[in-house]
Amino acid sequence: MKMISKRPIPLLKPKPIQNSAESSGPNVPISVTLEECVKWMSDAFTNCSDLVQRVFTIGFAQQRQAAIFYFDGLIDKQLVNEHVLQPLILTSRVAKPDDDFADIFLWLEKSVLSTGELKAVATYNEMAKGIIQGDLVLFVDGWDKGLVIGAKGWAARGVSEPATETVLRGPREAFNETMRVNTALLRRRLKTNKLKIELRELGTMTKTNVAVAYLDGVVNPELVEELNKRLDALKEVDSILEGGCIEQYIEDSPYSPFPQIQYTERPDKATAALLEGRIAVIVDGTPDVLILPAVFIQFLQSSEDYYNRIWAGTMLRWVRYLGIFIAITFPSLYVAITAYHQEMLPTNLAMSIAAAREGIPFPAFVEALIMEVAFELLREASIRLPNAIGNAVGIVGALVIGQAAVEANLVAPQMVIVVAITAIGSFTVPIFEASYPIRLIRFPLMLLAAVLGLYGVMIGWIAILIHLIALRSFGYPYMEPLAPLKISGLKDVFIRAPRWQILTKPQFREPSEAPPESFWRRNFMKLSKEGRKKRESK
Amino acid sequence: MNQSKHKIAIHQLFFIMILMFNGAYSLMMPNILGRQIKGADGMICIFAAFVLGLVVLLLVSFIAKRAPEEGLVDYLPKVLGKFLGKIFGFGFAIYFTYTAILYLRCFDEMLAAELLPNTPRWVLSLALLCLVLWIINNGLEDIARFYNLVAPIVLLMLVLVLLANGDNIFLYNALPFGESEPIKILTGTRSVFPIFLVNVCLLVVYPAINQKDKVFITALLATVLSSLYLIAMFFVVLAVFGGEGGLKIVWPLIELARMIRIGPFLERVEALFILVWFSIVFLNGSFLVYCGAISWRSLFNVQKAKILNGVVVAAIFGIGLFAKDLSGVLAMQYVFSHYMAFVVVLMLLITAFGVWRYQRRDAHE
Repeated sequence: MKMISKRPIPLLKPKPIQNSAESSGPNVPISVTLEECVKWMSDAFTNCSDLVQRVFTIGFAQQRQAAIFYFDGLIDKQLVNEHVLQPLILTSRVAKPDDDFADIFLWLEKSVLSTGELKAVATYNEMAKGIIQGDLVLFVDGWDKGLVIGAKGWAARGVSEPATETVLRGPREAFNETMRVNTALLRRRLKTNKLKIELRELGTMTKTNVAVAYLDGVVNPELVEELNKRLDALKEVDSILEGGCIEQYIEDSPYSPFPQIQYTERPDKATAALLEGRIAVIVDGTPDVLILPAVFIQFLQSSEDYYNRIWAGTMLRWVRYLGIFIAITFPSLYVAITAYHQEMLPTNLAMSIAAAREGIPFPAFVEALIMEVAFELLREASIRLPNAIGNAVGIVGALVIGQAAVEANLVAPQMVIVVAITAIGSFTVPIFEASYPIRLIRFPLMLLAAVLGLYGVMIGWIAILIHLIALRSFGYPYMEPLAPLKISGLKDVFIRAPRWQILTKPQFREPSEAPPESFWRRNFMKLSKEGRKKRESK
Repeated sequence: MNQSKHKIAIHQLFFIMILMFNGAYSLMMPNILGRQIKGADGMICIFAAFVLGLVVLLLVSFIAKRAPEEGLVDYLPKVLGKFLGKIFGFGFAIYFTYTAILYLRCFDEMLAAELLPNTPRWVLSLALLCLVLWIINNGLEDIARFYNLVAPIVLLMLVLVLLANGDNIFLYNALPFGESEPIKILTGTRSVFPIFLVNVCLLVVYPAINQKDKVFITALLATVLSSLYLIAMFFVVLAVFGGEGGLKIVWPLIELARMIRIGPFLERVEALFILVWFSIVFLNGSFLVYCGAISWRSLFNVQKAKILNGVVVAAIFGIGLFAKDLSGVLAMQYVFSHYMAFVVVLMLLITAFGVWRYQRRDAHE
């Protein structure tokens, strides 16, 4: 047997990274000689095969060497050719440059380059930051400054239809992975200078752009302050790959199964949230926008509710409430009633269940557990597989789990119905994120039902409610407007009241300006009727 | 951001009070009254207890207004002296804790009798107390919000149980009326009176209430509505089941729920009733345990609230086990209505006198 040496293995000391963009610090000034600038850039981006470097000559009477750097694939090549290279190489030759260097560069910056975004910077660090973010940088020999030229342009998905928040009525635009497209989608809907979009960079490695959008004068300033405080605390985080990464850092109770920040891929929904005094967080590279604070009831509301007719919207909401109740409770009710409280059922139904369960070797709880686990497996499998195979998995699942399991006397036919109804119930939740906690809490609830019958179901429900009541989203109670009770908020919970009644002061709103006028009755219509009468009398 | 942290709104107080009056103890009330008085005279007892309850409310309001930002047990040594103040604080803490035990054990018995006859009482009790511990650790604000959430459903259900039995009411069942001797009326009143003693809890939560000027009127409204409901419930029980048999039913409200049939599909509505009732018991239990825990915490100046809450809940669980069955719970109830209620009223009177004297001395100085 080989002896293991007890001598500790010496730790390797990491070699300091020389001259990298990060280690250079913010205050390394740009050298006057182009050669040094090129060397610095080459050293900083060693082994970066996608870095493009182009050295060329500008000017005619007084020729100067210049160099541009950019990452291939991150810039708009057409823009670079037409608005940067062509003016620098060709246009600058026809003009008469002054003897004074400062004037030459001012002339370059102001008159030659025809791009929209242009910034003169004095340190290498700023240059490196620009190039990393997809801009193009320009060094000119003899000048101790550099130009960061906005030329971002990479392959991006266009604005397409929402994949998870589909509606029958309403806009069919969805956010995509490009932050500026997403901010533009919001800006297009909110044509006001009160829409503020604050930009910050998060992730020491990923340097992800994160935009915080809110409506000034509508949002509670303390909420913005609180969010900024939480985001500022993420400075040391190395990577922000998706909105979900930020969500986990800044939400109030990360261990809760219930989401405390909503995400949406619908610009109209994000716009409505902003109008309610909420904040939208747009993360570059994420096709969803985070909305905060969030309340529980919001996860059961669809934007379509507000576009439909009042009663249709109200009915759809109640269908969802019923769906979520069934999704959480139905299997546990089945377990409790079949195991403990058969007398609750009418005799015929009780006998039918008893006859079907005859010969089944498992107690109701195990039976329910098998079916629910099988269903979860199927669901997960069908999501991960390509569409065509996913459908096949669905068919196999229906045949195997439904028919074969019943025929093999492993489960009662009623159990299949229970699982099917439960699944349908969980599909009614309009936001997919909110269906996870429902799927999770169903299992402990079934266990409680198996141990304590209906009493266990009630204990489970009370535990869920205690947890929900204790939850906060950025300090706001998660169960608002139900607990604490806000009567005015109920008109958007139990019913979907007409627009003219909903436009009162929303729950998150601490407006510095007066809220929009709301009406109990449609007084504005009365006025128009009077006008019509006048016209008719004339 | 959350402005109302650790404060409760006035409507939340209303829900707390109204459900406290209609807690587990009131479920047994017709049975307890029926053992002492004949026919509809029980309604006179409820009314008399209501009047006494108003006196309690006045006393509570008088004491609370003098110390709007201090809890009862903190305030007592100031007005009654250190020794007597501590003794009284101890007395009130025992009252809250004992009431919590009684409420929770009542429900255990009801559950064991109607829904889970084979499950040991300690399992039922432990499951409920775990939830109670959880919510009291979260604080009064969360308890009040929970009341907010379930109170409308529960109140609706309580009214529906009576209304749904409209067809089963036979007025002659409620007779005789006015035939009981005054001493029996007094005995009956004494049995019902502890229901109205829950106003004492106001003294504990008063500092946490947002609109203190509306506390009295809110509590008064809750007291009036609850006494009306109790009278109505007593009358319906009597008129449906009759004086002889009906008042001997241990859980008459459950029996009323059992009488309801929702078509051929749902034959046992009372099981649903018990489940909803569970939320009342859980809430009332939580509120009383909270009042008890706050009192004990002030009394012993304990900083770590969660540990003390755990100790109080463990004590409630342990003491509750002494009542092994329904007869044990009824014995607890007897002690409660015959001795404890009297002692609490006496303590209230002395405290009110102490407050009055303290106030006079202050004004004089």
